[in-house]
Amino acid sequence: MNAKTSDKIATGVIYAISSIVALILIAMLAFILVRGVPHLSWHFLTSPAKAFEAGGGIGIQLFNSFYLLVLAMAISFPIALGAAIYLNEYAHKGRFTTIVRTAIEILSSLPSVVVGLFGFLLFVVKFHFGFSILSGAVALTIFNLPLLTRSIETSLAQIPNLQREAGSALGLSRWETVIHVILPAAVPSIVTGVVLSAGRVFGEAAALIYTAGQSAPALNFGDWNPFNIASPLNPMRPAETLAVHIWKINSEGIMPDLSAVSAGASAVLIIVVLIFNFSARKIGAKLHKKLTSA
Amino acid sequence: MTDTTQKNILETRDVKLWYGQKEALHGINLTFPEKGITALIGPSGSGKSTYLRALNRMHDLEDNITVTGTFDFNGTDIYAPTTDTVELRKRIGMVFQQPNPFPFSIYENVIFGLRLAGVKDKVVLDEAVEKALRQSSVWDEVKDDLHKSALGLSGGQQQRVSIARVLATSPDLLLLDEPTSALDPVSSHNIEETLMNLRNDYAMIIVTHSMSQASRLSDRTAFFLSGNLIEVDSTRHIFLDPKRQETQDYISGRFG
Repeated sequence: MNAKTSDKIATGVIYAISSIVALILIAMLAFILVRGVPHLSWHFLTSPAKAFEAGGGIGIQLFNSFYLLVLAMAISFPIALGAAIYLNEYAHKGRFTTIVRTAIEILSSLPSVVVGLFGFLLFVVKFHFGFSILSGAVALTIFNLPLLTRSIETSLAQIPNLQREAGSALGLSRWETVIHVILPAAVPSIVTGVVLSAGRVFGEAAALIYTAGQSAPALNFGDWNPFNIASPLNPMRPAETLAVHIWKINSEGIMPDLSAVSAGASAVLIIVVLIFNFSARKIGAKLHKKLTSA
Repeated sequence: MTDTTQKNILETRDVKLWYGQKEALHGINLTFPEKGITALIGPSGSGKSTYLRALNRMHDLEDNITVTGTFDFNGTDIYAPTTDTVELRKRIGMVFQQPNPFPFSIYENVIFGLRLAGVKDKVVLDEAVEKALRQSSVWDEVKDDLHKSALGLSGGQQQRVSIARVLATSPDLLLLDEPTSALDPVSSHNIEETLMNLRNDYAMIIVTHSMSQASRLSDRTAFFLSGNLIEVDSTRHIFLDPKRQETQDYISGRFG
């Protein structure tokens, strides 16, 4: 067999493999969307779930998912940013850096259900946070931190060394170079990474089952005082998210329109994650344009 | 050897530098007058860039590099523990081989140093931008696009904006590390013109691979070989009547 033929065969095989990957994704998305989208309505998206009768919605779960996402991001982003800046801009080769890197790698390979059980034992039980948004947010932080750190670190590493040299040659301290040169240049790709990780956090269920809990008490959307128990902002209330809701009704749901609710909720989850994924690059590109040409 | 009518801005004695255990500079003695251009020439690996980068402590950014020797910059000991590298690098500006504007607008690039120093007055900033861009001979080409990204400029324009950015911080000494070797001939010519116009106001040290550039631009030339300074003299003498055989061989193209 000559080189040309084998090259053709290899190209064909690679094309076939990539097509299979794409097809699996498309088939899955199509299945979920075709089954779920017909059940979507404003009523479904906004009204509370019903445990025993038909006609329930996912309003509270949807809100919980976003609220948890925002809190988890608010906690994990500053930590991940700091760790990434340290690792990429400050760290020297040495034992401490190796330990930090290994820790991040191990943390990122922990199964999320393990993170969830750890969160349950430590935050829910030991710290008496109870099944709460706070416990959930901290568990999500542990889940999200290693991947977010890695993604921010990659964004920083993409900034050419010339920029660092230019900064210090202009009389900037290392910190000033990071703040005024490296970060502004890296913002678009950092934002892309954050939005992508938001999509992953949004769909996470296992880490939340034992931390944020599996119940969604009624909320009073007129009450925004975070200290009131019925307030949507209260961080100490249990908060079943959309992903947990899907898991829950499929394992022990008894409402008559169970499969419709499940299909609809899955479609919403997928659509939100898709929106995150598609918007990530767009936002990044837009920011890049805006930041670089002032 | 040095022009005695001028005060020296920088005197270095017995400069040695190690990469780990390997000695890369073997004791360089060089002084630089207050104004004019000194060219550092020599084949790749001769240590000329390494020496240049020792002058504003760029090697501080790397682990594993040791520098010894005396560096007297206008009375300041460059390597004294008390010397603030941030202050030092404002007085010793540097231009690199690759043009490296920041990913901001041309305007923001040029006033970058001033902004950090806390200058807010728009009139002052506008004036500084125009002055620096005029000094670096790129004003006419970019004056209508000051608020566009510097990354959209050609390589030669980017390099002159990089020079303007350095000039805006009013340094006393300008280090140029092969500033034209990544540029096409026309852009190189423009940069040379720019440097010629600056020679009466600044002390400049330029590392170059191009002997014709050294002969066109510089007042003095220093020839480096294998981490040693072989010879330093007026550019005329180095190119027409070198004292050392190695210099003669290099400038006549016998090696390097």
